[in-house]
Amino acid sequence: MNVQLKKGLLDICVLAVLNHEESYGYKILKDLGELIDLSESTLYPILRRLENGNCVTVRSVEHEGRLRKMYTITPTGKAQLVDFLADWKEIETIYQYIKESVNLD
Amino acid sequence: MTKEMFLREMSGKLHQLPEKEVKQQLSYYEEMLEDMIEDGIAEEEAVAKIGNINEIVEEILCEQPLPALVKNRMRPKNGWTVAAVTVAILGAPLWIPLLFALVLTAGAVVLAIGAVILSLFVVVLAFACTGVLIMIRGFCLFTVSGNYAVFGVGVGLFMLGLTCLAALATKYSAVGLYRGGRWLYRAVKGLLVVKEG
Repeated sequence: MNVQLKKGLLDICVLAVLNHEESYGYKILKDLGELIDLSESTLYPILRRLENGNCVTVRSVEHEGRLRKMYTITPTGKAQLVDFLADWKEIETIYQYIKESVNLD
Repeated sequence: MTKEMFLREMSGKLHQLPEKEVKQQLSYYEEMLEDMIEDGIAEEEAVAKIGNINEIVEEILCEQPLPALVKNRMRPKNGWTVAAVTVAILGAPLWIPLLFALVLTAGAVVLAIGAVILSLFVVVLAFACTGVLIMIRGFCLFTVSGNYAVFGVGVGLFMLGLTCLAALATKYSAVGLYRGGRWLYRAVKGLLVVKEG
């Protein structure tokens, strides 16, 4: 997929994963693995951004004698998911417009 | 490469960042590697999967805010040794005016862009006010002369039409100027990121 297009979708995908359940870095990557190509180094800035934007909260949980950061979605994060779905109508209109222009050729 | 080697190399390459930031980055990658190993991936393979350290480091540095980069760029490699302090003090007559000029230039650019945007909005406002006033005056003249009144209202409407066009043009110019400014800021920031390897 086009890099610019994907960039906007990744934040929403991570939020969608967290909307199912509280999760951690590696599991988020695994859950999204089938859907969208996301690397370890891309995920971290996304989580940081979501945390700074109050879309997720973080807590450290002990696991096998080490700490693991668990991310939970906040009401602001949930609202972003709803907003995205609302935006989709607009994207569909744009898609139709592009499709028509391609068919004209 | 083992997990320890990866983390040590990364920590070395991030030396220009604040300690807290380095710790956060390292703890993320440490957790990620441990989770991968726990999931049955061989250590070497897990490290390879994370990717090229130089690329990751460059990405991290580009995400940092500008002041942090400048501060770390200015810091001498081996900390503030006596020699570094001496050079800094002796060089003060040179670098203080230079720094001052740099800050002033940056401020002037921001002010100039802001002023252009503001003046565009003032023009739109002026169009709108003139239009409304001419229309009101036209209505007031109804008792004196019908022709004058209709002419006044017409000119008023024309001015309001111009206002709409000017507002549209202003909006796009303002967005363009803002984007241009941001691009300039990024370009300056890019100069401060040290590329390694």
